[in-house]
Amino acid sequence: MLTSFRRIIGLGWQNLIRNGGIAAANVFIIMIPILLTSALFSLRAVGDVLVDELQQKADISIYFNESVSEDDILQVKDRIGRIPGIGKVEYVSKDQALADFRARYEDSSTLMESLDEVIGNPLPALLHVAADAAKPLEEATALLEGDEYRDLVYKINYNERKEDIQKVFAFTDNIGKTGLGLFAILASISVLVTFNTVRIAILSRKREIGIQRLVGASRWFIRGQFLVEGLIFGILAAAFSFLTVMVVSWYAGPALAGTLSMNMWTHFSANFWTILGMHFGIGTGLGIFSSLIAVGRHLKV
Amino acid sequence: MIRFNDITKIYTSRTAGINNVVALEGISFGVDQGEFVSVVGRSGAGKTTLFKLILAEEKPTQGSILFNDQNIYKLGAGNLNRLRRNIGAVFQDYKLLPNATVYENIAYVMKVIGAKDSEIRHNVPRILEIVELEDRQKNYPAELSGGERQRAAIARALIHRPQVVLADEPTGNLDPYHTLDILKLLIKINEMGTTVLLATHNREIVNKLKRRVVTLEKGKVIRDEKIGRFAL
Repeated sequence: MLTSFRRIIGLGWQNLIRNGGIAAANVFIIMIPILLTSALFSLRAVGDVLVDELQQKADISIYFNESVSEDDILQVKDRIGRIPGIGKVEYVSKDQALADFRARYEDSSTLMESLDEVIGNPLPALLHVAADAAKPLEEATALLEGDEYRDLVYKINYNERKEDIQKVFAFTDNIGKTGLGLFAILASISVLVTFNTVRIAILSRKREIGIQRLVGASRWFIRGQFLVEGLIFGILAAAFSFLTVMVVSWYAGPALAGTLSMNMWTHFSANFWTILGMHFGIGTGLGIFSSLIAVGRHLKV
Repeated sequence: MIRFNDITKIYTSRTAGINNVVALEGISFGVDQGEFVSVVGRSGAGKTTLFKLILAEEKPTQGSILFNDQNIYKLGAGNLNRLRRNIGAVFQDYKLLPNATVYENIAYVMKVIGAKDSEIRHNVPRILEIVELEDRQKNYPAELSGGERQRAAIARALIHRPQVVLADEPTGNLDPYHTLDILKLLIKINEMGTTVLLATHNREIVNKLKRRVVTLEKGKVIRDEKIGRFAL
């Protein structure tokens, strides 16, 4: 048994070395779905950051009447925070609102002069409310426009931003669905291409498989050799693609950090083991699976 | 040992309008353990098909072949492998593994039957010496002449001392000197108890052998003589 196992490994390795050109083509082809999955994994991270940023911008502001105390506002903050789907709820006091306003418009002398002429702080305290969908914001608005809180609220900008907010969430929702769909299509195509390349490579050795069967080799003795080859193809493809991703992340990561809103090298380092596992899992899985399926149909001699 | 029971083999054409080919029709004869049988006939008489059927490379359209009283077409995968390991086959087209050297081609059969490494190291050089290919052992089949490939195929067929040797035109590409040597080798292994089935259209060989001759014509046995001569 052990001798057979050793011989299968030896023959598999020998076949791989002797069919160098075909082996190189197989390794290259298996690299494609690995790199594609890896790229989509990184793009998903970039997408998540961008979606998060967009969703943060699709927030609403709730302005409170002059007479409302900070405690009441914090109670409202707490109540809104409990609505499912509501994310960050940020309280901005009157003083903070004024400081923010001054900071934002410090270059506008006209605005600053007008502000100085006004007695006291004309800006209301407010809450910034962010969510992961439009519905929770709509719920929050309905709650505050209801009897319980109507007297406290001076203004909610949901209705004037409603269309934009819905567009942002529809867009971010579609990004996720489109990304998943695109991934499924591309992954299927690349797996099919890989499978067919391995199948054609094995087809060229159909005669060889037939000869082995005719001299009495068992199906597993032959299948095992191709399994070893497939495994080695997968390991090599995974190693090369992993190195490629590492080098690209290292060089391009910092340079693209501004454009992508994240540093690819940081993402690579943080997900090192996941990416490594993903590469080797897909590589060896595809190598073994394609080889086994492709060789199977020629073993019926 | 081998019993052909009313074997018919028809190759069905996939092309419409092209007639099916009847390769063998109602073949029935037996081969005993230790016999040396020459199967003779013109090209297309059905010699190669007969050998393919013994190896279960093809299935008959009708009839059965018993090998040691077992219907070979009813054998499971494991038993079929064992049957093939009991047969040493020399194919007309050699069927050598293209990416293996002469040595590795011969050693492959030993590996398949589970021989020890020491046996492989001992037996392969010996058989290479017998077929005079010791200086070609590291060459690939593509680097050999037709005669050398033939001898490598013969060495592979004999290396594991099979119960039966099927030799399909084993001397077809050999010069008279090597033909005689291979013939002597086949006689020698037959004398040691191995059953030999030799398919040939070489009149001289058959006449020299003075052994049983089964003559095929258009897929039928037209003659079966205990000590026969090539007569077509």
